[in-house]
Amino acid sequence: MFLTQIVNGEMSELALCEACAKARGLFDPQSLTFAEKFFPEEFKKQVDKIVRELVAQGDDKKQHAPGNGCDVISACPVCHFTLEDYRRTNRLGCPDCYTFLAHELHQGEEEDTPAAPGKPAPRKAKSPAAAKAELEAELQAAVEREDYERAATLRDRIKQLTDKEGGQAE
Amino acid sequence: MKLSTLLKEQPEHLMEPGDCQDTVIGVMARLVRNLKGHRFPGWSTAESRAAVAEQLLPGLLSLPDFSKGFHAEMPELGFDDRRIMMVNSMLSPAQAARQDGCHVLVSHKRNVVAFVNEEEHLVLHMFRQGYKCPPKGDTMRTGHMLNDLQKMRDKLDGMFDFAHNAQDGYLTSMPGESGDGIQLFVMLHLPALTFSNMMGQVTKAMEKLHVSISPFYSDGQDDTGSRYMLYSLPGPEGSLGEVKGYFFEVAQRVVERELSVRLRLLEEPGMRLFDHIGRAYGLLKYARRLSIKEMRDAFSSLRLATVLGIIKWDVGPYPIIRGINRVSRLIVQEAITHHGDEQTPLFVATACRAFLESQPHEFLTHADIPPYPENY
Repeated sequence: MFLTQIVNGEMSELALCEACAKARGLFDPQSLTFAEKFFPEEFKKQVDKIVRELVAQGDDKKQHAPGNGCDVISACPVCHFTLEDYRRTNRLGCPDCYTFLAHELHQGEEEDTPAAPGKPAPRKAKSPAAAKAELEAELQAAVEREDYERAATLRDRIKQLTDKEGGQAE
Repeated sequence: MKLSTLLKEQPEHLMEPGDCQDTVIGVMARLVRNLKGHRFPGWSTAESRAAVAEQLLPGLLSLPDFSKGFHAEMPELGFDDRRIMMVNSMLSPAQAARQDGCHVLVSHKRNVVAFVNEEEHLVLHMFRQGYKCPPKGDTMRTGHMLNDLQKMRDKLDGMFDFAHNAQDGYLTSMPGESGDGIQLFVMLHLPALTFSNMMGQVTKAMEKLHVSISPFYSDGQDDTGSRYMLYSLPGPEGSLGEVKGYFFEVAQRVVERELSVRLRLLEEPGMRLFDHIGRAYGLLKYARRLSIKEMRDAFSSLRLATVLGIIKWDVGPYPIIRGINRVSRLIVQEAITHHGDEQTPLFVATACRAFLESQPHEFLTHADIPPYPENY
């Protein structure tokens, strides 16, 4: 879940995993949008409180910590590579990123298509249809939380997959 | 070894003619590893690169392959040196663009190259020329190269504390490439498939078979010299045996396809292949200005004509293909170092003419060409 708030000209960005968001009462993105629209003062207070809590935990880039019962972190404490950096470049900053972005890296891995006998499929490969369905669900979620940058990236990836499928069918 | 010595001789593995009717030019294996606790090179600082190099270099330089070889930090290499090393497969494009804290090591036989702080902390390339072409239906064999690679891998893994976890295997900057850190490449010469505009079909078929193919000389859509690189996707840890078997089986299918298309083109009544080769021959023999791409394309056709027996050389096909390999690299090397953009086409054309004139040969007519090939 991504929240951006501008207070006195300073922008605060939050990237919370589902567990953290629920723990802080931010369990429904649609309700959040609703709250922001109709109860702006209350919403601002709630987000301010969360930002203060997170800043008090230390590194301002570190918005989650495994110690908090959260298995996702948005920036690697060793190299400061962020989740967004990974999503943008599809690369990692250092070997420790594997630990701190484990949730993101292995998302949906259990749904992997098993390799055909004698055919070494890539370990994390999904069937195109499964990958497309997953991306479409993610796109829907991104649109709902008004994360348009992410939505645009996902849209492009879906288009690539669709084009590829079309090419293979020819 | 000094840089001048390194550049004076060309790698022997690049000189040998390709096997399987000159379709398989060579094989390369790429091994990647990263050290624990350091940023990957693409996200690193000068300090972290220096720290990585400090850890890796003493061990690498103690290996027999590199102890008598060449070693340099990238800023020690000039622009032209880098280009010549790239032409001779001793430098990757990624490493050629790097500077402080990035190193290149070349073995004394020039068949093993190591890069420190390329896209990963340690990247190792190991080459072998050609193949022993298997009988039809059998799969390719890599001889000792993969055994050598496995020995080198075991030695390196015992020497350094590489980043590794149970779930992902050896960790790399691109998560999709983590695993055993080994990729296999086969360098192919596919003039008949290129001429028949069938490379698009081959590429699509390769995608379905989890194997990738790309042009050898550039990262675009270029098919210069009809050379291609077929490569395996990185596999999970311990999968080398399985990947190897599957990958070379796919490579063999591409080779068989190339050979069958050659046969079809030879028998085609429209004589498109003869026309194509004749034009390439004419270009080499009479052109006064040739670009490097034109030269590579024409030499590719000349190799095909030599293998098919369309051009008969007094010295026989083997020394000629070896000569083409050597001359084409020397021409590129010379053009890089001694000729500007304006002079290069003149020099390339002159050198190509001189090569043809130095080798007595006969351009056979369609009726005189011996049947091809015995095994396919």
